[in-house]
Amino acid sequence: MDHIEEAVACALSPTADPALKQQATQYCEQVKASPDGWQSCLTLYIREPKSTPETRLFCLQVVEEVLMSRSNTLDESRLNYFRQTFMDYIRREFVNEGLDNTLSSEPPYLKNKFAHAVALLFRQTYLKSWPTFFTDMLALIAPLPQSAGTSNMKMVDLFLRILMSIDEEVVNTLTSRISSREENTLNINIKDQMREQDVPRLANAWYELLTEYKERSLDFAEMQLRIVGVYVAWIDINLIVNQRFLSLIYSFLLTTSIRNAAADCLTDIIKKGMKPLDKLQLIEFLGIVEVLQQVDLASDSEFRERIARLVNNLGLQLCQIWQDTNPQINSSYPPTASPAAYNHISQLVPILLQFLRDDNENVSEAVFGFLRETLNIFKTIKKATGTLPQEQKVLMRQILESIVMKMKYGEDMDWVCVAIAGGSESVGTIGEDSIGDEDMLNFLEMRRELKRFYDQIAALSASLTTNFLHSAVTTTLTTFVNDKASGSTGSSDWRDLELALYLLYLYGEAIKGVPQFAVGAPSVGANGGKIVHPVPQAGAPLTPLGECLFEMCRSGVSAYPHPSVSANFFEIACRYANFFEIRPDCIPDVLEAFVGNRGLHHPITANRTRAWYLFWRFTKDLKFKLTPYVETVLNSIQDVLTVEASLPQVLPVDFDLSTFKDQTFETKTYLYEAVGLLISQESIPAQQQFEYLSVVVNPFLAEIQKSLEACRSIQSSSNGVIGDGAPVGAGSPRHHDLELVWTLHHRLMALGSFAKGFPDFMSKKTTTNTNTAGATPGPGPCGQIFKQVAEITLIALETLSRFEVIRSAARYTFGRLINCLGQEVQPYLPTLITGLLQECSIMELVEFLPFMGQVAHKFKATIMSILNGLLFPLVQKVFFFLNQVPNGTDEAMALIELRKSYLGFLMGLFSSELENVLITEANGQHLNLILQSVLHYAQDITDVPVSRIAFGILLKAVNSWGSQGESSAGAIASSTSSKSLLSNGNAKIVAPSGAGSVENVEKLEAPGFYQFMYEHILRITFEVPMKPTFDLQDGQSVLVLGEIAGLQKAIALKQGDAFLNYLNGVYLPLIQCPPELAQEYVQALQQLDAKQFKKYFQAFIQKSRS
Amino acid sequence: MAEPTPAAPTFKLVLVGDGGTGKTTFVKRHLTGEFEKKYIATLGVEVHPLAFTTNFGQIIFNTWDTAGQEKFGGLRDGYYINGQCGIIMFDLTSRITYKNVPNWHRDLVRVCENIPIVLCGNKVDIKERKVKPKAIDFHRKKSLQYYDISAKSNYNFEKPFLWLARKLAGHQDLEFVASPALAPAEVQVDVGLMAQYNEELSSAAQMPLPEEDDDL
Repeated sequence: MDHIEEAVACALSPTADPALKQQATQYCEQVKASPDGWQSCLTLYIREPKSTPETRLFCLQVVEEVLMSRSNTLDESRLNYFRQTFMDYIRREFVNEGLDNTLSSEPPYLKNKFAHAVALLFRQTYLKSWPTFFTDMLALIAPLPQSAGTSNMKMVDLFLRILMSIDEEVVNTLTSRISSREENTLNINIKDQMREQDVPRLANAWYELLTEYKERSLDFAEMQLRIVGVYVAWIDINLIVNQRFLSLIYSFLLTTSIRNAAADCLTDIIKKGMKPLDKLQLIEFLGIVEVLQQVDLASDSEFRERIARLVNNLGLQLCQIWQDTNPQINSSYPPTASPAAYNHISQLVPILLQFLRDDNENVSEAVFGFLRETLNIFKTIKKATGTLPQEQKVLMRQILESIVMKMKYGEDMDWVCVAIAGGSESVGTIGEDSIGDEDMLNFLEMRRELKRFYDQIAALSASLTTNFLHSAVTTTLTTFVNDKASGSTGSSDWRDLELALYLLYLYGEAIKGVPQFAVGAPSVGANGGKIVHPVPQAGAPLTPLGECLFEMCRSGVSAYPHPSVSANFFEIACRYANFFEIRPDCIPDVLEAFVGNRGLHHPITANRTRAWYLFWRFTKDLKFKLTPYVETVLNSIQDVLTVEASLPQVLPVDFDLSTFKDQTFETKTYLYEAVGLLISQESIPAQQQFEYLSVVVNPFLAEIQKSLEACRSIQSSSNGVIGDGAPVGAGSPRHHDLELVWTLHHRLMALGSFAKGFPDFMSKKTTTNTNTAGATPGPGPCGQIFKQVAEITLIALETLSRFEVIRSAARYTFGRLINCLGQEVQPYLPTLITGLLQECSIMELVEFLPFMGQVAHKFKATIMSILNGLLFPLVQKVFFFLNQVPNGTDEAMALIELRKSYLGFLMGLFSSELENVLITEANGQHLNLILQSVLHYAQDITDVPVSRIAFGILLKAVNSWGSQGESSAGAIASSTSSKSLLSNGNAKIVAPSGAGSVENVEKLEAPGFYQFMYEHILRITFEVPMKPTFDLQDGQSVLVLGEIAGLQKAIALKQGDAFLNYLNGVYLPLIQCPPELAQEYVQALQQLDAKQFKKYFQAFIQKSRS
Repeated sequence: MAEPTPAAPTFKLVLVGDGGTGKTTFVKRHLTGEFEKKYIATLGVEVHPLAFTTNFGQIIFNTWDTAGQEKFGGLRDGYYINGQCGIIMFDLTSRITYKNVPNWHRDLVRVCENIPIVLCGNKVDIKERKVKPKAIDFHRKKSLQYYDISAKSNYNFEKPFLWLARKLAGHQDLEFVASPALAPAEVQVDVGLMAQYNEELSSAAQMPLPEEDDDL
C-alpha cells in the first residue's frame, strides 16, 4: 500500500510508458479489490501533509466503492469508524481550521467527491446509528465564536454539496439505479424519516442561509436555490411556498447575477406534482403574473429565456388543470375550478405573446409548448360549443399576428432557395443537408414550427385566417405598387415581400377542399331552382384568394430584384394554377417571369433549376391555355435547352460513370418535357408542331451526329470506369472521352424527355379518336422526327453499347418513343434489344424486364414475332445471373430484385395475352426449363411474396394450357433435354390415360405441360403448405395458400373427372391419405366453389400438419 | 499532416458513455487524431489530439477516450480531472445506454463543474433505432447540446466539436473553415430517414418535460 501515490500518478499520466502504466493501473485495481484497501486509502486521504489531489480522488473512489457495493462487509463498528474519521476530518478541515471567511482550498472535485462519500455513509447509517446526521451537520455550520454571528462558510459549502449528493443517491429519479427492493425500501424510509424529523429544520436553515448569503456570497445563494428546486419535488410545499420564503425568492429575481437560478427555482416549484385543485391554489398564491410585471426583462436574453420557460411551465400546468377539471370530462371538481384556471390562462396569454414576439428565437421557442396547449383548449371549447367565442377569436388573431411576425426573415439573414413547403416537394432546390449556416437552419426549422401553429389556427377558424392573410398580402403588395409608382423603387424590403408571398402560398392551407378563385354564380337548373355545381366563369368576381393572386400578377412584384421574391412567385403560380383558367389574362405575366432572368435563366443555380421544374408543373396544369404563347416561349428559351455535361476536374481511381450523378441535368429533363408538352397540344396544327419540334430537336440531332464521329475513336477498352491505378485529370484524352460519352448520354436523355411530353398516341387513338378533327391516325408529322431520334439513338447505342450510361439513356428514350411512335417503333426494337442486352448488368436487367413488359403490354399480339426471337436469349441472360452465387450483400439484393422482375415479366406475358410466345416452335422446346424455374421459386418459401407470384404464374399457365390431354405429352418425349429434366422428378407417377380432349385443335400445344401439371404442379400444391417452415399464421403465407387452392380448383375445372379420379385413386393414396379423407377431399374440390374450397383446403392442411 | 502550431489553444475533452456505444470508433474517424494519437495499450484510456481549423485559428481537443474502462475499472473519474469539456455518448439502438446517461453526467460534473457537455446518440445509421427522438430529453433538463450522430458514416461528426469550440472560445460565430480529414464513410445514412428524425427531434423539443416522480 506504499505505492499508491506513485501508481496513481503513473496511471493518469498521458505520457507514461505503456507497460509501466499498465502495471500501475493493475496495482490500483488490486488496492480497490483488496478487503482492507479502503482503510489504507482512508488514512492516505486524511493524511497531513496532504497527498496529491489525484491520489486523494483515487482514495475516495476506493472508499465509495466499499460504501456503495460492499456495504454488506461493513459492520456497525466499521461504519462507526467511518463516521468518526469523517467527522474528525470535517472538524479539522472545515471547522477548526477554518477562519470563517475563507473557502477551503481543496479543488472542487475533491469537495464533491468527499461530499458524495459522506452522502453514501449517511445512506448506510441515518436510519440506524446516525439519526442525528442533520443535527450534527447543522451544528457545524452554526456561527463560530470568532465570526460575529455569521455561519461557517466552509462548512456551508460542504453541506450544500452533501445535500445535493443525498438527493442524487436517495431521491433523484434521473439517476438510473439497478436497485433491489430492499434498496428502494431503504430510500423511501430515509425520505419518510427526513420528512418527519429533519426537513422542517432544513427548510428553516435554507431560509436562513439564503438570507445570509444574499449579502455574503451569491454563489452560495445560487446553489441553495438549486437545492430548494431539487427538494421541493418531495417535501411539504408549505415549507417553501409561504410568505417569507417566497418574497425572498422573488427578491432574487431582481438580483441580476443569480436571477436565472431564482427563475429556475420557481419553475421547479410550479412543476411539483400535485392534485389539480391544490396546484390551482398554489398558482394563485404564487401570483407570478404580478411579480413578472416588476421584473426587468429588457437587456438579458438568457434571463428572458428562463422567465419564458417559467411562463411556459406555468401555462402548461394551467392548461392541464383546465383539461382535468373541465366539467365535460370530469364532474368531480367544483364547477368554478375550470373557469378559474382559464382566467389565469387568459391573463398569461399577453405575456406569452410578448415572449413569442421576442427577437431572440430561444425566447420565442421557450413558450411554444404553452402556445400549442392554449390552441388545444380553444379546440376543445369549439368542439363543445360549436363556435369559438369572440374572446378567443381576439386572442387567436393576436397569436396569428405574432406568428406571422416571427415568420419573417431576420435583418441579418440571407435567403436560400429551399423547398417552400419544407421537405417533400423539393425538386431543384437546395437540400437542407447542404446548408451549413446554423442560424439559417434554425430559422427554417422555426418557420416550420410556426407553420404548425398556423395550421392549428386555420383549422379553428378559416375565415379569421383568410381575412388576416388577405389583408396582410394586399397591404404589402399595395405598398409595393405605390412605392414603385412614386419612383422610390427598392424601398420595399425583400423580407416583407418574401413574407407576403410566403403567406399567400400558405393561404391554401386554410381552405378546406379545392380553393375557389372566383365567386361561382350559382346556376339555376331548369328543373325548379335546384342549385347545380357552381362553375365560375371567366371574368366572374374573384374570391379574396383570387384577388390576392390577381394583385400579385398585376403588381409586377415578380420583377423585384431579390431572388426570394420571384422564387415564391413561381411556387404560388404553380400551387394555384387553376386560377389562370379563370383569369387567363394573367398568364403572360407569369410566362414572362418564367422565361426571363427571374426564372429559367436565373443566374443563381438553385433558383434556375427550381424554375425549370416549376415551369414543367405550370405547363402540365395549364397547357391548353398556353397555346398562344408557345412560339414566344420557345424562342425565348432555346438557349437554355443546350446541354452542359462536365465531369469533375479530376476523376479519382474509383470513378465510375455509371454511378455518377448530375442533379442539375436531371432537373433539366423536366424542362425538356415541358417543351414537349407545349408543342404537342392538340390545338396546334400538326404541321406547326412539326416545325416547332424540328427547331428544338434538330440541333440535338446535328450535335449527336457530329460527336458520334469522335466517339468511334474512343478506345474499345474504355467503359466509364477509371480503375487502373491513376486518377484522370481534365485535359487528358481519357477525361475528354468520358465527357464526350457523358454529353451524348445527356443529349439522348433530352430527346427522350421531349418525347415524354408528347401524349401517348396509341391510347389517344382509342379514347379520343373522334376528337382529332382531321388528324390522320398515326404519329403524324412529328413521327418523322421521332423516327430520326430512334435511328440516331440506335447508332449511338451500337457505337457505345459498352457504356452503361448510353444503354440506360437508350432504354429511357425508347421507353418514351414507344408512346410517340406506336407501332412504327417496332422495326427498331430488335436492334435496340440486342444492344441493350449485349453487356448488361444485373440491375440493368432488372430494369429491362419491366421495359419489355411495357412493350408487350403496349403492342400485345403485334409484337409477337419480335418477342418470339427475343424470348429465349433473354431468359438465358436471366438464368445466367440467377445461377451465380452472389458476391456481397448488394449483389444478393440485386438478384432478389431480378427474381421479382423475371417473374413479373412472365406474369406480364400472360396478362398481355402473349403466353403463346412461350410455346412457339422456337421457344416450346425451352418451356420446361422456364416452368421448372417457376416451380423452383414457388417452392422457395424463404421468400413468400415471390412464391406467391410464382404460384400465380402457374395458375395462369393452367388456365391457358390446362385442358390439354395426354396426347400432347408425346411431344415432350421427343425433346431429350426436357426428358432428362423430367426424370429428375422424385415420384414416378403415371398420368391418367385418355383424359380430357383438346378443345381447340388450332391452339398451339404447350409441349409437356400435361405431364408437368400432374407430375409437378399437383405435387407442390401439397408439398409446399406441408413444409414445417410454412407458417400458417403469417398473412403472406395465407395468401399463398389461397393461390394454391385456386390452382387445384383450376386444374379440376380444366381436367374434370380425369383429375379427380387421379387424385382419389393414385395421388392421395400415394401420399398416405386415408381413403375416406381422400374421398371427402375430392368431393370438396368438385362441389365447393372457389371461396369455400379455399377455406376447406386451409382446414385440410391444418389438420394434416398436426 | 500539418503540424499543430504550438500556440493553438488545447482543451481536454472527456469522452464518456457505456461500453460499446462507439466512442473509440467516433474519435478514430478523425484521421489527424488517428495518426498522432498516443496509444496507451490495455489501459482503457487513449488520448487523441484532434485538431480543427476555425476562422479564429486552430483548436485542439485532447480527447480522453475512456473506452473499455467500464469493464476494466481503471481510474474511472480520475481521468476526468481537469477536463474542460465533455461528450457523453449513448447508442440509439440500446435503451439501457441512454438510461445510464444521467449517471455518466452526474459522475462527470462531480469532477468537472460547469463544463460544456454534448450528448451524442450514436449509430443513427442503423435502421432499428430503439431510442426514439421524442424519448431524448435529458439534454434539455441539464442544458446540454444534443446531436444524432453516426460514427460509421461520419454523419454530424463535426457538430459536437463545433458546438464545444464555440462555447469554449465564447464566439458564436466561430466556424470550421476546413473539414478535417475523416476516414471514408463505411455506411451511408438514409437522408430521408435523417430528415424525419430531425423533424421528430425538433417536435420533441417542443414537448413539455415529463413530471419528475414524486411520492405523493
